[in-house]
Amino acid sequence: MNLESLQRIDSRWIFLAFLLAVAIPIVNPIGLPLKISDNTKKVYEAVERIPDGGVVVLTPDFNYDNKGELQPMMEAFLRHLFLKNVKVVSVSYYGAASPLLMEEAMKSVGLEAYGKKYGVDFVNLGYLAGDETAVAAFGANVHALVKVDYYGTSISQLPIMERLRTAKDIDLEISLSAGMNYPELYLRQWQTTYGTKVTGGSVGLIYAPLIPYISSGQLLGYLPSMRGTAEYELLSRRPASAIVGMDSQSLVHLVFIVAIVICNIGVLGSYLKSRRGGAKI
Amino acid sequence: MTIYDVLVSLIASGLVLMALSFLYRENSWFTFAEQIVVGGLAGYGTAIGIRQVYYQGLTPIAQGMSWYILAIILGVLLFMGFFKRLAWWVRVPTAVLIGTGIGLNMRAGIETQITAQLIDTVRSISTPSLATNVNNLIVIIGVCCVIMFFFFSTETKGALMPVSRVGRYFLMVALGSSFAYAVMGRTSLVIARFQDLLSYPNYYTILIAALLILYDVLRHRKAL
Amino acid sequence: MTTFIGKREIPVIIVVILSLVMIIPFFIVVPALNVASTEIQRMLVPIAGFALILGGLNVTLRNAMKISKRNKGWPFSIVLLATFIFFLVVTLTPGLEMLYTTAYVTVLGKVNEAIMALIAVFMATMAYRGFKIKSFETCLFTLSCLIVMIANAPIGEAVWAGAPDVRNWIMDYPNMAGMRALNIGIALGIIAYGIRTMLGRERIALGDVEVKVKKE
Repeated sequence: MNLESLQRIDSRWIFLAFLLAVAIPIVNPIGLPLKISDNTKKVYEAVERIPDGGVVVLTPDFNYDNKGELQPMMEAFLRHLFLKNVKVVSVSYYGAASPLLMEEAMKSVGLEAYGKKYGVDFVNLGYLAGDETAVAAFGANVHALVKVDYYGTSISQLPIMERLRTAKDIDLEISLSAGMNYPELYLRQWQTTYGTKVTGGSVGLIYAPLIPYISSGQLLGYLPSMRGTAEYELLSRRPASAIVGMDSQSLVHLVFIVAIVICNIGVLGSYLKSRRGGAKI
Repeated sequence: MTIYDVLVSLIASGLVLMALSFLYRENSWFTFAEQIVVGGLAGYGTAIGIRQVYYQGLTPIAQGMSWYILAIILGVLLFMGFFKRLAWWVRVPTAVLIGTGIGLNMRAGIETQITAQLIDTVRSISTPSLATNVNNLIVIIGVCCVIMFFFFSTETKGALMPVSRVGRYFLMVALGSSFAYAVMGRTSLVIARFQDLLSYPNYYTILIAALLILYDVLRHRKAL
Repeated sequence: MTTFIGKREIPVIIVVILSLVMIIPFFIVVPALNVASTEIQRMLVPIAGFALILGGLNVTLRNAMKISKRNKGWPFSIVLLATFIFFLVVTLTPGLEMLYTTAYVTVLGKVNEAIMALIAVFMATMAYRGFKIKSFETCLFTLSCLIVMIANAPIGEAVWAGAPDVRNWIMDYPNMAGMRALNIGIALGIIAYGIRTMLGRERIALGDVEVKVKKE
């Protein structure tokens, strides 16, 4: 068998293997067990330790292009937060569609099911353009920057906003980020400046560069993409879509590993051929 | 599900499959779906920008904070780029945004991204546990070597060469593990789409898409 | 007659003043500067809103020109503009919430996600073609990727029970060291770039691009 030809498989076969690896477990679930990491436990404990009546600011810093990764995470956090006696303020600095994602999450989780009321226990302040300037301005004086919520209601009519004046009043900031600079924004403008505690989760792509902040204690743990959400759902005993998706993740990862191994067998074939032929690589 | 919901669902899944058809080969259906996304996002973003200007710019002026007129003027200056003779004025609001951004980034950035990180790097290598000492030494050596790898002010020679090489090794491990998490992250998007596509009534569109691809494959085989 | 402060100097002066207005109150309590700093931060939010409108206007004008000149792919520009106008109107008009939710949440959001999902599939080919072990560095890269992937997948954990511990060690020590140094380097670079901009040595960000014409 010509091992070298293993390096030249048509990409479309790999695409097909990938798509089948995603589709098959959705139709026929496997149900493999998951081990919960210390990092996920840190995030869970950070949420558990919010004092009664505390204020949590949840920032959905992602758009529809990352919905599959972070929407289940947002819903898992909301379910956990609504079980506690805390006030949840949602505000986004990433993209104009983030408040819509929060609306969808609210419909999916259901405020009323937890005995919560909009304006009293939860508020959606919508999107604020300006990135770092908006985050800094929000931290300095919330009421001077934000006049209405996402639906146009004046914040003076929302009892929840009486508790939140500056970033000092935030008991925990939960950042759900699709961009690397977003957790750093809150660390710079809220944590370093006002001492606000920060945790949350991110897309897989930016998780590894955030580990130094977890190690230094600046981030109280951070959930990595779907795996982190699945562990969090298990820990909070509220399984949802993330756990269901982990079976597909297993098969897809298998496809990647097999592809890498096959490619390297091909490389080995090239090397052996060149040695036998006496030609230089 | 009402007929309206079924229709909307079928349209959405049809467009999703048009987007995914790029995997088979580049085609007009993909471009059609792509242009819908670009147009939709641009339209929505513009609408949010208009709302932002109204609520954060014009409303404070109406409430007596007249100094916000400066913000409106600076915002309008951004549009001067369309006029050749007035194009220079775009630099003014740009300078305002950059200056504020630099100031905000620098003031807390040093403590957040440098000082706190360096403090955590300097760890003890004389603890009772050998494993902890080795791990802490790995961190100290790794951080120093990677920083030296990015030091381009002098030529990499002499003692700097092995240090730079070790830094490269640490970087390879870091980037490899980063890629693994990126794989998991991006796969979640495909899983989310398929969870939707494999539900009623969207699986009918998969059937239609599969038949169209089969027809295309056979057509190309005949042509050859 | 030469002027000391001209078109090139004014943006730099603005950058310096605003940077100092933001930085000084962080370290020294100066009430007037504190108020000025907070107020300027708030005033930038509507300017960012104008930037969003500018982006939309650019997209509209470029595609309108493409249609008028019948450039390649102009029918797709009609699709783009029609969608642009539709979403602009639906988002701004009160009373159209149901149409807005249907159009954005049910349709556009899913297609947007599907286009991003393509990246995942292309990453598979990227891994297949790119992860060739031909040196010690590529070996480290590939091995660390494989170990973390095995540990992240529940099936990997089931096959190799020690995979999560090895992954955690890789992430918490060698990966953390590399990423920390990368982050410190990026932070130092941003600070250096900021100082250079304040000193007027970096003008490209301010739109001052010099075109040098070679004399033959």
